[in-house]
Amino acid sequence: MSTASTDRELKKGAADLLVLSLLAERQRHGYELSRLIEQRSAGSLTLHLASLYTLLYRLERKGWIAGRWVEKPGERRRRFYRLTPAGRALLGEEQERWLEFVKAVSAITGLRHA
Amino acid sequence: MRERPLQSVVPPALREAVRSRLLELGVASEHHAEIAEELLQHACDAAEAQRIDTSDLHAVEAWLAGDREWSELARELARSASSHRQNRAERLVRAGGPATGLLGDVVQAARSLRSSPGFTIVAILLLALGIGLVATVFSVVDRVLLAPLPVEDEDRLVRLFSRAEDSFFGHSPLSLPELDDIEAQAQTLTGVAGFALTFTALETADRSELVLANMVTGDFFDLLGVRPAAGRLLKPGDDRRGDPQSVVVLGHESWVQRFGADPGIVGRELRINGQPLVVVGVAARGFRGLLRGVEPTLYLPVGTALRLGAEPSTNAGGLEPGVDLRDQRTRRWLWGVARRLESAGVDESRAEIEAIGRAFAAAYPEDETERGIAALPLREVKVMPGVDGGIRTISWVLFGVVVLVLLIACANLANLLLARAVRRRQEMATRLSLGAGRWQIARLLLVESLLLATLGGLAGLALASAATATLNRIRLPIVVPIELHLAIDQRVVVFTFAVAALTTLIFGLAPVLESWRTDLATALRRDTARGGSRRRRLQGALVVAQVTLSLLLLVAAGLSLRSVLNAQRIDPGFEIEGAVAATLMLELQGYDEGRSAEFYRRLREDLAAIPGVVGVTLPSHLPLTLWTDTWRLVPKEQEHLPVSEWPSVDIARVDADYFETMGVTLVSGRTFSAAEIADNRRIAIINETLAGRFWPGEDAVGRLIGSAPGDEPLLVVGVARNGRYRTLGEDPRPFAYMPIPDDWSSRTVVARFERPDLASPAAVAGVLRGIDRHLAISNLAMLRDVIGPSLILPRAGALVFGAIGSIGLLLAAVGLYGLLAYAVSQRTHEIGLRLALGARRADVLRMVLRDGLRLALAGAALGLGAAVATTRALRSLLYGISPTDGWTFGVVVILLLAVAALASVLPARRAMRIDPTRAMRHD
Repeated sequence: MSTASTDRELKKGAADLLVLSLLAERQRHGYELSRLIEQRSAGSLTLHLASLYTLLYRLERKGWIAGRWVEKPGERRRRFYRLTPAGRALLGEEQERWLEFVKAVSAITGLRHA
Repeated sequence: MRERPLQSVVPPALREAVRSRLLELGVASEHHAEIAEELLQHACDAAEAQRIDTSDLHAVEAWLAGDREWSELARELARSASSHRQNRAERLVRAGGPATGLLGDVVQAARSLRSSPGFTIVAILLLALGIGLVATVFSVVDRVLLAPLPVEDEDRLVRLFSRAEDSFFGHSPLSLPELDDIEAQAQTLTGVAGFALTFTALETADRSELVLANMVTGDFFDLLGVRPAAGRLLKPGDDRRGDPQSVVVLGHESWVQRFGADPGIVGRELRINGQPLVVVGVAARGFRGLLRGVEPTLYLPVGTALRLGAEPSTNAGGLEPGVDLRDQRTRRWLWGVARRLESAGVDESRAEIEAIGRAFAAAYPEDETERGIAALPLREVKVMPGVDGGIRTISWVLFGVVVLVLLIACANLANLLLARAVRRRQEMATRLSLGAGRWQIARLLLVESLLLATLGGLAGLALASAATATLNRIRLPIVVPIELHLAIDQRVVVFTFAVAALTTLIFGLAPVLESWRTDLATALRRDTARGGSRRRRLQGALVVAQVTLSLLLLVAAGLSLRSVLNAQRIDPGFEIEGAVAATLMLELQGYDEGRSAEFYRRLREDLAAIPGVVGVTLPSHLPLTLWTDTWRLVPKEQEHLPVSEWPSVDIARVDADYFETMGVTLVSGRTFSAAEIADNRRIAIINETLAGRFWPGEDAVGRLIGSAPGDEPLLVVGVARNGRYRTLGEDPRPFAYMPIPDDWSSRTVVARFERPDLASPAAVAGVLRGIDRHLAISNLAMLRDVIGPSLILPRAGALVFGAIGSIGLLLAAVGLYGLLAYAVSQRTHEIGLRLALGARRADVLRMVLRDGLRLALAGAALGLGAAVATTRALRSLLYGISPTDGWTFGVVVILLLAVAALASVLPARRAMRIDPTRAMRHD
C-alpha cells in the first residue's frame, strides 16, 4: 500500500468514525454534523461540504445510516440521519480498530496522552 | 389551520444563488433533486449562523463566492454519485444522446410507480377493467361491422337485392334467371355470382352431423378473388348446367377442426347427404362467405347441392320433383354479388342496375308484385340490409356503454392521481425551485401516466383475450350457428393502445394541471387548507359524475331485466315446460318419402314407449324458433281479388296430436283426425286473429279459405287460441295450421312428459339413434330452450347492462371511498381539534357520512335526469315496461345510496376513532 493511499484510507476511516459517533448520540442533519465536528475539535477538523455529503450518501447507500426528511412546526424541513443497527455494529468495530491504531502509534512513538 | 412564520421558507435570493451553483447536478432524478434541496437547507443554516442577509442577492453571492467549496460542490457530488450508480439503466440515460430526456423520464416514472405499489396496482386494475371491456366490445363490433372481408378489392364489390314492398326484410334474394340477365345486360359489371345457405348432412368417420353449407355459383370464388389454402376452389366448370361435378370445397375452420388441417384431404371423398363428393380444396383462412357471423362448413356448386336435395334456406315454397329451381324466374333464393368495372363509377353502376330492374318489371308483368333491383356496396351490407340497422344500433349502444365505464375508471384514476399529486407537491416544488421547467415536470407526469396506461392496456388485453375466448364458446340455441371468431388480432391491439393513449390524456392531465397550479411558496409550506378545498370540490365533481353514470347504467340494466321477466311471463300460446324437442331433416340423409313416413311412424311408437311420455307430435316446425313459412290466404268469397292483395299469413303443418301435445286449446271446432291427415285433406285450423280478420263477428268454422287461384279451397274445421309466432313481443298475428302429409321428411319432434322433472333429452336422443345410428339431429333440447331465441335480445340487454352497471357501481363506490378516506386523512388535525373542543364522536361520524351522501345524492339526482332523458333509446328492446318505469328507478336509487353509505361508513368510522391528543401532534 502506498503512503498516499494509506493516508486516504486513514482519513476516510477517521471521517466515517466521526460521523457515525456523532449519529450514535441522536439523529442529526448535515449542517449540524459539520458544525459539531468543527466545534468539538475546536476548529482543527473540518469536513468539506462535498466530502461530508458524499460521505453521508455513501454510508446511507451501504445501509449504515438512514436519512429522512423531517418537518418540525416553525422550522424548515431538513434531512435527518440516524444510525441503523448495522451502522451501530460497524461503529463498534471502527472504534476498536481506531483504539488499536492509536495504541500502536503510541507504542512506536512513545507518546502518551497528557 | 395554523400559519407558519414566513422565515421558515428558504429565501428566494439564497435559492437562486445556490441553484446557479448546482446546475451541473441537474434535476433529472428525484435523488439529485433531494441532494439539491438538502444542500439548500444547509446553505440556509450556514447563512443564518453567519448572519448573512439572505434577502440580498448580492450579499449572498458575495458570501458564496468567497467559499471555494460551493463552486466545486456540484461537480464533485455529481462525480461521486455517478461512480456509485447501481442502476444500469440510469447510466444508459446519462450516456445517451437526445433521447436521454424521455428515457430518463421513463426510468424515473418506473421507479416512482414501484415506490407506491398499492397505488400502482389499483390504478392498473382500474385501467385493465375499463380498457379490457372496451377492447372486448371493440373486437365484436369490429368483426360485425368494421373489419373488411378478406376479398380482393372490396370497394368494387356490390350486393344485389330484389326490392319488394311486401317482403319481410325489404331486401330479398334474386332468382338465377334475374342474376343471369343482370350479368348479360350490365355494361358496368365484370361479373355476377350468387350464393345461398343450406343445411347438409356431413358424414365423418364416427358421426353424421347437420352442417351449414354455402351453395355458390361456379364463378363465386373467382369473382371475389379468394385464394385456396389448399388444393383449388370451385370454378365455373364445376357448376355447368346438366353436368355439375361431385366436388366440394371445405371452409378453413372446418378443415382445421374436423380434419386437423391435413393437406392430404384434397382428393379424398366425403359423404354429403349420403352421396360421395371429392374435396378439391380449402378456402383461404379467414374467409367465411359474405354473411358476417355465419360460418359455412363447406361450399358446394349450386347444381351439385340441388342434386343432393339440399334446399336453400331462402327458398319459400319447397322443392317440387321435376322442377329445377334455377329455371324459375319468380323463385328468388340466391343472394347476388357483382364486381364493378374499375372504370365504372359507383353511381353510374347503381343507376344501370336499377334501370335493368325496372326493365324486368316491364318485361315480366306476370310477376305478382312490383319489384326493383337494389345494388348496395358490399362494405355497407353486414348481414342483410333489413337487419343491419338493428345490429348497428345494438353494437354502438353496447360500445357507448363500455366507453362510459372506461370514463368512470379514468375519473377514478384522475382522483387517485390528484391525491398523489398533493402528496408530491414538495417534490414538484423542489424540482421547480431547482430550475426544472414546467413542461419538463408535465412531461415527467405524463410519462408516468403513459406508463400506467401501457401497463393497464396490456392487462386489459389479457382480460379481453379471456373474455373473447369465453364469448366464442357461447352457442346460441338457434338453427344457424353464429360464429364470430372473436380474436385479439392486430386491429384490436392497435385500437387498445390508441384507447390507452387517449385515457392517458384524460386522467393524466389532472396531476399536470395540479402541478402547474403549484405555487412555490405555499407548496413549500405544505399548506393544504386553501388548495385542499378547491381540489376536494374537483374530486367531488368526479365522484358525482361517476354516480351519475352508474345510475344511468343500472337503470338500463333494471329495465332490461324487468323486460326479460315480463317476456318470460308472456303466454306463448302453448305449454313450454316438460317437453323435449329436436329438428330432423331426413331428406338430407338420403331418405325418400316412403322411408321418411316409415321412420316417423316408428319414431312415434318408440317415443310414446319412453316412461313418462304422455304425448308426441311431429309438426313441420315450431313457433318462436325463427322458422317461418308464409302463405297468401284469402276468404273464399274474396278469391277474385288479385293475389298481391291477399294477406300474408304464417302457417305450420301439424299432425293430429299437435294441439293436445303442445297445449294449444281450440276455442271452437275440432282438431284434425289421423284419417284426414292420411288422406291429405284440404282443411285448416286458424287462430282467433285470422278468424276475426276474415269473418269479423262470425263463426269461422265451416268457412272456406282460398290458398292459390284455381286450387281447391281449405275448409276451416277449428279456431285455435291466439299465440306468439315470430317473437314474444309481437302484436297479435294471424296464423293457420294445416295437416302435415305423412311423408313430410323435415320435421320437429316434440315429446311431452307427464311432469317437467321427467323430461329427458337423452332418452329422446337414444330413441332417435336406436332407429338410425347415423341420424343427424339438430337442436335437441328442452322445448323451453328451443324457443330461447325469442328472448335473446332482452336477455342479452339485461346481462350486458347489469354486468357493466355493477362494475360501474363498484368503481363509483371505490371512487367515493377513496375521496372520503383521503379527505379524512387530510382533516385528521381538524377533526382532532373538533374532538378536543368537545365535539361528540357521533357528530364526526355524521359529518363524514353527510359529505359522502351529499355527493351520492347529487349524482343520483343528475343520473335520474339523464336516465329519464335517454332510456327512451331502449324502447325497442323493452317489453311490457315503460322506459321511465318508476319502480325500477326507485330500486336503483335506493341500491345506489345504500352502496354509497357503505363506502362512506369506513372512512367515517376511522374519523370517529381519531385520538385528539395524537391528532394535534400529527402534522
